[in-house]
Amino acid sequence: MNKKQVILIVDDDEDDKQLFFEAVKEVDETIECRAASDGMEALKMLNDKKNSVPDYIFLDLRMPGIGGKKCLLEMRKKERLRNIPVIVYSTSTEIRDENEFKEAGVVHFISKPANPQEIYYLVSFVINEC
Amino acid sequence: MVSARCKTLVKEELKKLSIEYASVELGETEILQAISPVKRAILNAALCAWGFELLDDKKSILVEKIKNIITVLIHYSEEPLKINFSVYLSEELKYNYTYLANLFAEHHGITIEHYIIAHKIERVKELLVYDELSLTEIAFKLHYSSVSHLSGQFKKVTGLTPTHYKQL
Repeated sequence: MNKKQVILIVDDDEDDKQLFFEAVKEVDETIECRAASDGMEALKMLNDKKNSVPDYIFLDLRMPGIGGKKCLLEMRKKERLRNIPVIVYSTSTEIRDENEFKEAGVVHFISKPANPQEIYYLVSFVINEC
Repeated sequence: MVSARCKTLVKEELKKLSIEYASVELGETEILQAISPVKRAILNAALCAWGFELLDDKKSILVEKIKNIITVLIHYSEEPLKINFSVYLSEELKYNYTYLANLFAEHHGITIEHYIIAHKIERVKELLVYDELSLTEIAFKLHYSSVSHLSGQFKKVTGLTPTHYKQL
């Protein structure tokens, strides 16, 4: 039997987080969703060896305190976190050089759509692909 | 192959109007001389009759190229991509994926990912109708991570389970 998949969603916006949770559950209700509200909380959760390493991380780039990019770079310094596929939410203006993110292990870039239906398709696509 | 037939049709229409071309590819044709507005209108009408559209603004052409890449990947490619789709698309078109994704959504009203899934489900429907492969084999052929994932997407897009669809 396959092990239960775990997704970590890092987003400071509670409504967006909820939309992602719902989309993930619609794609596959067996997936365990964890959430962090900023980069600091995410790093704390990820560095806690009591927690299993998530299978994917959905990371908002624009967050107060430790933002998405800093969080990503910090994560990549740790051996056990280095290979987790990361999907970043972004706008084209926030990402000037995608290569920099690709080198840090970002596997997909998404713009947060306002429409919940589109979030389902994004999550479904990414989970199937990664 | 549909793509070869499309190219032949475009070549035939160009020949009828004595328009010389350097190349005819899916979504892109390079012609060797400027054409008059009248000839252009005639060409457009002829292409429209075949369900094609003459595009000349750069963004529309780029969106068309994205759609062509997706069509080829889903309908004509047997091998799964060795790199992530976002990397593949940006390498093929030489633009950031974020830019391409935003442009596509702006022009098309849906995300690239939604478009891909809708096309994959169309392909699944075709294969179900052919009745040569099991659902597991279809999932494998179309590079789904699991049958349940395919079934979930199918239900979401069509409102039916694959089994129910096959029985119709």
